[in-house]
Amino acid sequence: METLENRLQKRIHISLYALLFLITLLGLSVLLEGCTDKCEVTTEYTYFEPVYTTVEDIRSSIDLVAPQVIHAVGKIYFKDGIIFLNEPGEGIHIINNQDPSNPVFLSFLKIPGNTDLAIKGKTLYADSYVDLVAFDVSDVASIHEVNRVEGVFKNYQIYGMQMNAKCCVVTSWEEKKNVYITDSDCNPVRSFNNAWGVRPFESGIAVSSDMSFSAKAAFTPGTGSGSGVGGSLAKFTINGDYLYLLDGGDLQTVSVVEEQNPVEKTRMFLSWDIETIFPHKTNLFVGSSSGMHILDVIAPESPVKLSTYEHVRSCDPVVVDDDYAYVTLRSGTQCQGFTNQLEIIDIKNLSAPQLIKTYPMTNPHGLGIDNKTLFICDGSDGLKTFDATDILKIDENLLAHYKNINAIDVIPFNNILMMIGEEGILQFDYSNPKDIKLLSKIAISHEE
Amino acid sequence: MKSSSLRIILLLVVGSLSASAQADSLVSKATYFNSVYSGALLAKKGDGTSLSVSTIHGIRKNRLASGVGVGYDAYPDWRTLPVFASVGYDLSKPGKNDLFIQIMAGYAKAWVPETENSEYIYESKGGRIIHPLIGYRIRSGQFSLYFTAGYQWQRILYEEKIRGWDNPTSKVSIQREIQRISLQIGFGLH
Repeated sequence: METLENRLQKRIHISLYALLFLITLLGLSVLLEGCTDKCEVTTEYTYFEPVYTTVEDIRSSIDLVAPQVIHAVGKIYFKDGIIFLNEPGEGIHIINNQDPSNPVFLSFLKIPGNTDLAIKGKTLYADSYVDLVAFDVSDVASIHEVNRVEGVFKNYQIYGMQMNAKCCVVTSWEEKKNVYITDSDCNPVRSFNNAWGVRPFESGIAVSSDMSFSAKAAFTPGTGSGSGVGGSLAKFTINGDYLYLLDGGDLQTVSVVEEQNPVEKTRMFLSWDIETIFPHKTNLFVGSSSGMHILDVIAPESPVKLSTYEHVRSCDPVVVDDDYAYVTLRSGTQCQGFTNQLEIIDIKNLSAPQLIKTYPMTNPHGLGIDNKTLFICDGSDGLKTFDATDILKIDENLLAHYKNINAIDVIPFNNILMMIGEEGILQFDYSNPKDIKLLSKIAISHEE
Repeated sequence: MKSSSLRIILLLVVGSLSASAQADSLVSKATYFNSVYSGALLAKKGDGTSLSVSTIHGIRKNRLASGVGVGYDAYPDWRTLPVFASVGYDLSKPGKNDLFIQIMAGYAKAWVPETENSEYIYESKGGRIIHPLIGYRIRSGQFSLYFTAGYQWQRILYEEKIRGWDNPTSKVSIQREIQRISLQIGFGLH
């Protein structure tokens, strides 16, 4: 029999439990308002801050010094038995190539910011950041600056950092790291992860580590009296007494009537994606990511655009012989496109170029043609030589395929094929195109 | 919630319960128990209601119950698989029905279900979880029915990346703290 005291005690306990439970539920409901997600976001990023050098310092640092090890190859120019080999951003290696089987390094011409060159007669023209510099190369043992066109490159920039020709230019980049912590509402963090390739940031830029500051390797040809020869990826070329420069989206004309006294002339806009320039007779063929522009330079200071042959978006070096233009299209990060092929374009009527035929390729880069022998650097698929006599059956007339050569561009000249590849510069005797013979190799040092 | 203060609370609870258990252990022997909980994790409006299930297996001795468990929580974005230790204490002497408190603490693997259209990729290291609660147990023979209410705190550490874009120049690391009110019902043996 339960006593009154026990029953009372039990009821008190039950009441207390119920009260405790209710208080707990009440507390929980108050707490509910604070129940949410909170995020602490730690963003670590690397960016590059530009290092500026005054133009006075740059202009005073040009010098002819002892031969240097080659760390990277850029444009190449061949003139009177001498190879002028650009090392992007650094200068030009002077190499005696009278005997292609035994090239001899003579000297190194330090030119800060140099990426391209051309030669007329005894004068070498080279860019140095925003300037065009003329050198007397009549005696390769004492090459020296003779003139300079200051600030001729109006569109000089590096990854969006504009240069000031009167003050300073970006000459290097300093890598920096930064970390910042923020609180957020846990929505996806749209931060640097959204940066695609290059992004201006604070006083510098963030770039992907796989992007390089080195200019891509290239060669450049020339026409007219006294100019040298080159390849298919040039941004400089000489036609007659005029030097034509690709500067951003513009074609800049420079008179070199007086070799050692270059004079800035006219400038015309072509398109923002122009990449290469190739002269032929009184015409210029300008390759761009989206097509090939054909210009008439009968009036050298007033180039006239005759036509534009449009193609899919791609990198497109071009070479030309009398009736046809040979264009290779390739895919890749810089080129954006997905096409890898050789296009043959009929240019008998320069105002209306017509595509004749396309041939599939692996990843074609530069190309060269000499007396209907066509050389194509097909990336990892090596070097291919074709007899291009029958323009419609080029693929059926493969003369040779050298698969173990990773080629970027070629200069075929007087039976000597100068080829630039990942390993360096190789020279071949192609007097028999079916059996080219290695003559020499100029190696690139991969050490810092 | 600071981790140091959580540890102190945990030690106090476990210490006091252990002391009480030692006293009770003189009069009773340990028995096996298990329980399966299922319920909702509530957040303030806009953060969604989440499903939570868990199971605990352990030893009960007098007022003290300790064990280990595994669970599954489905938040609106995240899924977690916590593995935890559990300590419970009955507030009243062993009887038919008991009011009890319990705390679970452990580590949870975490992930975000991927879909083909997901713009982001999340690489998670998981994180700690603490879940104190108060509950009421109704016994019927060998079986028990549980009603609980509690507070669940969970941390998830992860990196966020954009799909198809591996940017080597930046890394976004996120420490996410999830706080929820839990309301659960459960059943179990003993």
